Amino acid sequence: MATPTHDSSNVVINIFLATLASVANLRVSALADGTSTLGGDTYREYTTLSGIAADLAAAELSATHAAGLSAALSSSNPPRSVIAVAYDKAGGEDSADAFQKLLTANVSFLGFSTTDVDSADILAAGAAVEADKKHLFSFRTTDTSGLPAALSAMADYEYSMGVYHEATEQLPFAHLASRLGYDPDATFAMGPGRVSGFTANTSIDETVKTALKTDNISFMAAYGTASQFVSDAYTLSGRGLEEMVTVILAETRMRERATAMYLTYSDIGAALDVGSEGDQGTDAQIILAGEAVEPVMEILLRTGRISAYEITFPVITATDVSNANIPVNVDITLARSGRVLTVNAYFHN
Amino acid sequence: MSTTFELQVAQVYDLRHGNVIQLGGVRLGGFGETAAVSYEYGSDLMEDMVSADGFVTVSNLNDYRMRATLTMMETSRSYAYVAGLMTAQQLAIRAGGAIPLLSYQHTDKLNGDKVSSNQAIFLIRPSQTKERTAGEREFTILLPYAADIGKQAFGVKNLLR
Repeated sequence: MATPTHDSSNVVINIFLATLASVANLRVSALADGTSTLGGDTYREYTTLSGIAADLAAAELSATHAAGLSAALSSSNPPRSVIAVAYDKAGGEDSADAFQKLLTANVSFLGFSTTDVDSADILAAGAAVEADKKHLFSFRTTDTSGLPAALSAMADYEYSMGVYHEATEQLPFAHLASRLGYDPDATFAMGPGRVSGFTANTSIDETVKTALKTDNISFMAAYGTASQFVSDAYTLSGRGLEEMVTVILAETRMRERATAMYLTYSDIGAALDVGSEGDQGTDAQIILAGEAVEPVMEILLRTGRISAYEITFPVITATDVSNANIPVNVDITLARSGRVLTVNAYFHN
Repeated sequence: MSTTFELQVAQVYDLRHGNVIQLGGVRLGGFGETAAVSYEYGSDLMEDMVSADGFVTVSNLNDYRMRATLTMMETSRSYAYVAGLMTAQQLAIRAGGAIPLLSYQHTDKLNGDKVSSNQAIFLIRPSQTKERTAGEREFTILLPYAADIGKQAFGVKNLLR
């Protein structure tokens, strides 16, 4: 495996109040397409092939879009559902706009992919997901030299994953939807996994494999008794897909718990005291760690996503006081990779 | 023979300022006249047995349950708050599905004692007995894995280093 080019393990998480009204569903992925209409709907969620077929027949899904969604529900270890989101490519929109539509509509999802293969479109979508830091993006590439030159700006992206696939099939989406389809709160599914129903690649030799692996581009090939298997499954920065799921899961659940706690305090007429500059280990830090951080770490530990964690309390700074931040840090030892992830959480009071 | 353990500087204990006892993220207070929280383990750490001919076997019981009994005055806000949590949990259980997560944590900032659990399940509710003077209310909650080794902290701040 190539050495990750972006090896900073620190993740700074600003725990703002969550906008989602309920616990986020981190088991579903969305596929964007520039010609589907979805009958005017912003998005649709499909649980059956017949549902997709019906909308294709009604010309509300493009053939490419329908094929991609169907392939995901037909592939090995399929997810329970998939989301279709449309954008108006002819009208100047791109996949990044589709991604934003889902965010604006407060749709709960984790994976995102697009049927578009234009480099500009993929760049825009990747940048949008990278900036948001709460989803994972998977795109198709046909470049045997690794990450296409036109996408070189994405080389350090932690939330984007490239999959080499020669045929015009939505393999990246099917793989992503499958791996993210497991309940992350209950189990630890690794990134590599089976797929099925796709056309075998013909141009992958040892030279191509080396080039792809160097740039952390995944590909489908036979693996053991699996005729179609996407191995490695790293994001472009070299992080395992499951590692990024852990990062997003940790942040999402901490944010949800902090928000629920904030609402409880408001309801009961209480408030947390940020403290003074120079304080450390304040009651507020202890309480927040006990409610919003440690319970999440326990779940991650129990599901095997992490092997250890250590919570520490930073000294309250003047900036913390002026911004009403309550800082709590946690060092997380990630399972499978063994890397230590430092989360600097700033709970906004 | 005296040891260094006998010569340590007097330590301070302070229930009000030194202990943070929280349930569902809210700090509890208004505790009973003498009791605040008492803990009870599901089992001992290990169990020993001896065979008829004197062969000793020790078994690790792997029982990490703890029960916490919270005692508070019937006049305290915490009593109303904890009762509300208990009611909400019961209603959620009756509605079916998984028991909603409710976190419990007790940190003694002075000596470092710590008990934490991301699951607190109400087992015993208080009765609303009335007497001449204000009474106490006790809630017993189950902390399923709180006694797992490494989760508890025992006086870690009492060490010299």
